[in-house]
Amino acid sequence: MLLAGCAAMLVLPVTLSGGPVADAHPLGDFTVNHYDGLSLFPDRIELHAVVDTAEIPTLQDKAATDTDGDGTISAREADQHGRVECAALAAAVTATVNGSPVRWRVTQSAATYPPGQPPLLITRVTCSLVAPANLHTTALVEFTDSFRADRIGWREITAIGEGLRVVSSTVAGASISDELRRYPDDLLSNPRDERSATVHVAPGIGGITGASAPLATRLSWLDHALASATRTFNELAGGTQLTPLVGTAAALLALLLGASHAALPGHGKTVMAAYLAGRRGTRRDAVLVGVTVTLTHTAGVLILGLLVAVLSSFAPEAVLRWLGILSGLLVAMVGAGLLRSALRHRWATPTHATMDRTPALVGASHGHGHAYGHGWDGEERPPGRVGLVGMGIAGGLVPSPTALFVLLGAIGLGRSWFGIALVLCYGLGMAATLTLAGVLMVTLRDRMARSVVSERWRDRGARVSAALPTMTAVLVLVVGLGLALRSLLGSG
Amino acid sequence: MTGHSGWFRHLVPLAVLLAGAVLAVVTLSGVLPGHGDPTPAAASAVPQVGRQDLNAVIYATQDKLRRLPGDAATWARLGAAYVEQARITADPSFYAKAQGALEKSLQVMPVDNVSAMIGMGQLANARHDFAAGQRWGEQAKALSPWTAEVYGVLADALTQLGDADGATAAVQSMLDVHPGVASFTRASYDLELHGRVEDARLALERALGVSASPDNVAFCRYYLGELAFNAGQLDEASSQYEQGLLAVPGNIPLLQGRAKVAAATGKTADALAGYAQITSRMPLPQYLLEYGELLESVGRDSQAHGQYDVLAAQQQLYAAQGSVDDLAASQVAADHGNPAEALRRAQQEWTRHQNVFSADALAWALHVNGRDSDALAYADKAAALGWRNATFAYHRGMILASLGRAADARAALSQALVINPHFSPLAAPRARQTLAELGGPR
Repeated sequence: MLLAGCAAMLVLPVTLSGGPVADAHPLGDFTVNHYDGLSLFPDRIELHAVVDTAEIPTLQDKAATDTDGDGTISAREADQHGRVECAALAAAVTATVNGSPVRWRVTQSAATYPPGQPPLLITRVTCSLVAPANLHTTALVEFTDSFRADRIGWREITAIGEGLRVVSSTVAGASISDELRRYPDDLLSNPRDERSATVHVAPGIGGITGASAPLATRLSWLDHALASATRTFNELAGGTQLTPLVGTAAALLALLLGASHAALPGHGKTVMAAYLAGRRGTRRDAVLVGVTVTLTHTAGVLILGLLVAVLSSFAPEAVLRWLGILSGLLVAMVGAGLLRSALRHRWATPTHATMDRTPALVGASHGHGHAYGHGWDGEERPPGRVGLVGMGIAGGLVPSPTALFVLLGAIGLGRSWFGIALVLCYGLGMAATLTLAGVLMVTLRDRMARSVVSERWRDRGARVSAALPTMTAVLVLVVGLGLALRSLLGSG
Repeated sequence: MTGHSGWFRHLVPLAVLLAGAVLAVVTLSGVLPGHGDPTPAAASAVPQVGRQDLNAVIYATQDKLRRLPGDAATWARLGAAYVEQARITADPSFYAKAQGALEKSLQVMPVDNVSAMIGMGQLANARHDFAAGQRWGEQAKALSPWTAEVYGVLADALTQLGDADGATAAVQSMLDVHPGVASFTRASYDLELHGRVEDARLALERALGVSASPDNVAFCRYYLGELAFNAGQLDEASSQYEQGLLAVPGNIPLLQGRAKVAAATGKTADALAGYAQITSRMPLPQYLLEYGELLESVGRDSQAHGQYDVLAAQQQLYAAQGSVDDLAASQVAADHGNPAEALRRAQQEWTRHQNVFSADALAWALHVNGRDSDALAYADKAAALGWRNATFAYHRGMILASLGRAADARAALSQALVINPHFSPLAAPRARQTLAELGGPR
C-alpha cells in the first residue's frame, strides 16, 4: 500500500518544468556579448554592465549610430550611442527584491570603438546603473537580462555583496572573462549563457563575497560513498526533462536504493530490527519498525536538507557524525534495557516459557514501562514497542547521504515536492528491507516452534532460547556502543 | 486492537515532526536559490536555432575528453560536431575549434584515423577548399570503404569540383552503404542539379520519412520548401516552411523561406520585417544580399547599401579566417556595381572549381563587363547538367539578348519566368521588361 502510494504520488510532480536548456554559442563576428556585474549593498543594488558587440553587428548598427552620415563615429555620436544603449539596457534588465521590482537609474554610460578585425571596429558599451533596495534584512534578489536576447553571444553575470552577506548565489563572484576582455578559449569549453541570477542575502559581513559553492560540492564527501546507481538516480532526478517515465523511474530507483541501503552491512540496523521483530514480536511489530524508520529517516533528511539549504555555514558532515553517535547510543540504550529485563527474568522464569506466544522473556518496555503506564498484563502481548520504536528511530536517524543529496538537488532545481517524494520513497525502501527481514524472522521462528522435533532438541532449543535474550541484549549493547564509537572517530 | 492505539501514540509525534519538516522545506524553498522555473524567461523567448541534439553531442564528448584526453575517436567526433555547429550557427570561429580538435585526434592517432579524416574532409568542404575535401575523402575511403560519411565528403567535394559523374557515384555509394537523412538529401540535391525535380522531391520525402529529430525534420522541410519555391510553387513552399517551423520554431533558414514567400506574394512589409529579424540574428551573406535586394526593389536604396556594406565586411572577415567564397563575392560585385571585381573573383573561382555554379558566375561577370560572346560559352556550361535554375536561365537570356539573338533570348527569359516567376525581386522584373522589349514571351 505504502509503496503503491509512493508510486502514485510521483505521477503528480512530473509536469514540473525542466531544467535550464543549455544553449551555448562561442564568440564570433556575429556576437553581441553581455556581462552584468551586480554589487549588492544594504541600501541599493549597483549594476556594472558591459556589452561587447562584434564587428558585424557593430557595422549593422552604424547607420543608426553615425547620425550625421559622415562615415565615422564622432565622440559625440559615441556618447549618444552609449546613452541610447544604456537606456535600452536599463529597460531590459530587471531585478526584484523579495518579488518586488526595483527601479533602475543609469548613472553613467559610455561607448568606445576598439579596433576589431582590420579595418573593422567593435563596440564596447559600459553602463552603470543603480537601484535603491532594502537589503538590510534577509532578502532574495532575482535578476534577469533580456537585452538583445536574440543575438548570439557570451552572457555572464556575477554578484557580490558589500556590507552584507551573500548566503547563496547561482552565479560566480568574479568574472572569468575579465568583463568581456579575455574569453577563455580551449577546445573543451563552451561559452557562458547566464541570463538570470538568484542571490540570497542576509545581514552580516564576511560571508561569501564570491559565489557560494554549489550544494553538490559542499557534499563532496559523498563521492566516495555513492555507487554508479546513485549517479544514475541523481541524473534521473535532476535531469532537464522530468517526464512521467523519468519520474516513475526515479521513484522506483529511490525505493531500490533505500532497500539496498538498509541491507548494507555496517549499519547494524538490519540485525537490530530483525532481531527485535523476530525474537519477540509479531509481523505487526516488524511493520512498526519499518514505519518508524521511514518516518524518522524522511523527517531527518528533510530537516537536515533544510538546514543545509538555508544556512550556508551549516556543515552536514558534523551533524551526520553527531546523529551517528546518537543513533549508536540509542541502540546501546535499547540493548541496556533489554539486558536489564533479560537478567531479571532469567532468574524468575522457567525455560518452557519460549514455547508460549506470550513468553516470559520480557520486552524492553518492561524496563521502561513507566513511561507509558501499561505494563505486561499477561493477556496482552508484551509491549516491546518502546524498544521497537527506539530501534526504528536509531535505524532512520542517520540520513542517507544519497537521499540528502537528491533532496538538495531537487530543491536546487525548484522541484522541492519531487525531492520530498523521492526521499519518502527512499525511506520506504529502507523500511521495506527492514520489515521484510523482520517478517521473515518471525515466520522462521514460528515454523521452528511448530515443527515436531525430538524432545531432546526441543529441550536444547528451549535452553538456547532462554539464553538468547541475554546474548542478544549484550550484542545490541555492544553493537550500539560500536556504532557510537565509530561515528565518534569519524569513520562512519 | 489496543495495539493500534499504542502505535498511534508513538507515531503521532513522528508524524507531526515529519509534517512540520515537509511544510518547512516547501515554504522555505520558495525563497531558496534556484527555486522556480530555472529557465530564464529571456531564454525561452528566444527560439533555438535547433541544435539541442548537437549540443548534447558536444557536451558529452567534451565531458568524456576531460576524463580521457587521449581518446582519438572522441576528439574526431567533437571536431565533426564543431564543423556542424559552424554550419548551423554560421559562425566561422567554430572552424578553428574544429580544426584544433581534429588535429588533436590525428596527433593522438596519426595513422588509419578514419574518423579524423572524415572530419577534416567535412571541415575542408565547409571552408570551400573542395580539393582538400576530396583528398581527405579519398584517403578515408581507401581505409574504410563502408562508411557512409566518407561518401558524403566525396559527394560534396566532387559536386563543387565539377565532377558531376563522380559526385553522382559517391551519392549512390552513400545510399548503398547507409540510406539515411544525409544520403537522401544529398541524392535529392544531385537529382535537382540534373533537372530531375520530381525525383529530387521524392528523395527528400524519403529523407523526411527517416527523420527522427526535429532538427532533421526542419532540415528536410526547408529543402522541400526550397524545391517548391524554386519551381514557383508558392503555396507548396509556404506549407513546407510552416510545417518545418512547427518542428523547430525560430529555425532561421525556415524563417528566410517564410520571408521569401511573403516577398513573392506581395506582402512586402512582412518580408522586410522577416529579413530584418533574420539578418539581425544571423547576418549571413546570402540573407544580407536577399535583404538588400528586397530593400532595393522597393526603392529603399540607402538601407539596401547598408546591407551591401555589411556584406562586404563579411567577405573580408571570411577571407581573414581562411575561408574563401569567391563565388558569392563575384555575384554581389556583378549585381552591385563592381564589374571588374566580379570578373576577377569569378575567374579565380572558375580556376579552382569548374562547376555549374562558377560557370554561371563567370558567364554573368563576363556579361556585365560587356564580353557577351565569351559569356555565352560559360552560360552553356552552366546549363550542361539540365538544372532547372531560373537565375541561370535569366543570365543566359540576358546574354543572348545582348548578343542580339532575340528569339533565343525570349526563349531563355520565358523559361526563367516559367521555372519561377519570383526568382528574384530585382531580376524577375528586369526579365519581364526585357522580354516585353523583345516582343513578349514565346
